[in-house]
Amino acid sequence: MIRMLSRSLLAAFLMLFISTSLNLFADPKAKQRTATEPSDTVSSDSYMGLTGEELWSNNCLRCHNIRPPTMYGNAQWDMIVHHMRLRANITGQEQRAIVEFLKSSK
Amino acid sequence: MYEQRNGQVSTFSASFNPIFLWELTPKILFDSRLEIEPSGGGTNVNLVNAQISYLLNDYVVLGVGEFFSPSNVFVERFEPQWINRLPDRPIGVYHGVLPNISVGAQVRGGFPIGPTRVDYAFYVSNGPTLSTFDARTAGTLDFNSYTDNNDNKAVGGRVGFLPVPGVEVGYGFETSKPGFQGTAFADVQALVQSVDLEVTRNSDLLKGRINLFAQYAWSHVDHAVYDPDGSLGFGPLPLTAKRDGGYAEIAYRPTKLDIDLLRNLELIFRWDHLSPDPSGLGDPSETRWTLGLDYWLSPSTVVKAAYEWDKPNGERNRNALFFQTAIGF
Repeated sequence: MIRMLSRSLLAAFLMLFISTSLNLFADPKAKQRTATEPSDTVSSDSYMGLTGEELWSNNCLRCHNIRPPTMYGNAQWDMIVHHMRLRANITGQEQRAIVEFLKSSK
Repeated sequence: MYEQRNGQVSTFSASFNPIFLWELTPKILFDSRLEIEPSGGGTNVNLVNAQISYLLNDYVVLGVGEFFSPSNVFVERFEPQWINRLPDRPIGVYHGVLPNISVGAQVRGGFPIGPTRVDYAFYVSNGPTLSTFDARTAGTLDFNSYTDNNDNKAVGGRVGFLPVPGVEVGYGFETSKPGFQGTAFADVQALVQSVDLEVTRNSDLLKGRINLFAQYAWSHVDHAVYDPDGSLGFGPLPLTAKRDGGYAEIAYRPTKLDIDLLRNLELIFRWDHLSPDPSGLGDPSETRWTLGLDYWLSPSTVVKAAYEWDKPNGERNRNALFFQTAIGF
């Protein structure tokens, strides 16, 4: 059991190392933007100070292609982002920032 | 989907998986999914999940019902056919070591820590059932038995860490007593663990987007003697049952090219593996390599083609050719 736990932790550290290394492929403009251009929709506890648009892009793209804001109505976006909050484990403030962006972008 | 696998007859298949979302209030959501597919001369209808959730505050969500097991990130996030970039699912985490669906209660959420974020999900559920009656599967955990076989409840969860946007590392687990109540297996303890990595990166250098997914899982069932008196014909079989399996997948889509035809293509490569059944009498270890090419007609409509090199240890190959169309709406 202890050996199995050790292997799990070793694999976790290995994955963390790989993920950090993969930042070399990051879009430098995006990195600069997130660090220097917080917008109106930034929430006080939104990690990295991301805007609603950046939260929408970053969180949705982690699993699937993003759908354009015009694809659904306001009430549908309320429900869809509520549902996605359960899957992606985003905070309430991030949920509100994403919904606000989607509604304002149509 | 069309599947042509060596040693099997080629076949078409289809399924319809409607999702029901009902937001009773801004804090309460009911979500459910069905799986409807033709089978033989009829139609199979399965309830995949049905859950009521309540947003307690910005960082905590409570849920009860039948839900995708949080300890297995693949089924929670990547399993739907319009999300999964390949036509089939990785064996190690989908057909083997980890739970897919749990029936019980969960608490989950996420919170920032400085510039990073942590997400979490913990649950109690009926848990798996220990296979004890068949030599081939002795010591394996059956996660498809949704009613409980004892008073013990499985406890599990997953914690994810996002050091930067687009990168997540996770650790999942589930501990349980999977033996039938009142039998010699009642106190046998089982532990499954999983580590996972998800990376999404847009790269100017590569003119596109790279997605990297990896997950590896281990299961451990404490020592027990199966068929101790030999009445089932294969015992006594003393066994500490261990299994492991996982996958790594990398996908590249040239989203920054100007040509639509190329921008909508996505190239995928996956390695997946599942160790042999722990008794040594069942399925051998299996390792597969899959190369796929997708064409995205819309953000959630995809045409997939893939070839899978599949060689179970000691058996003839089960290489397969797939074509699939999937749409999410």
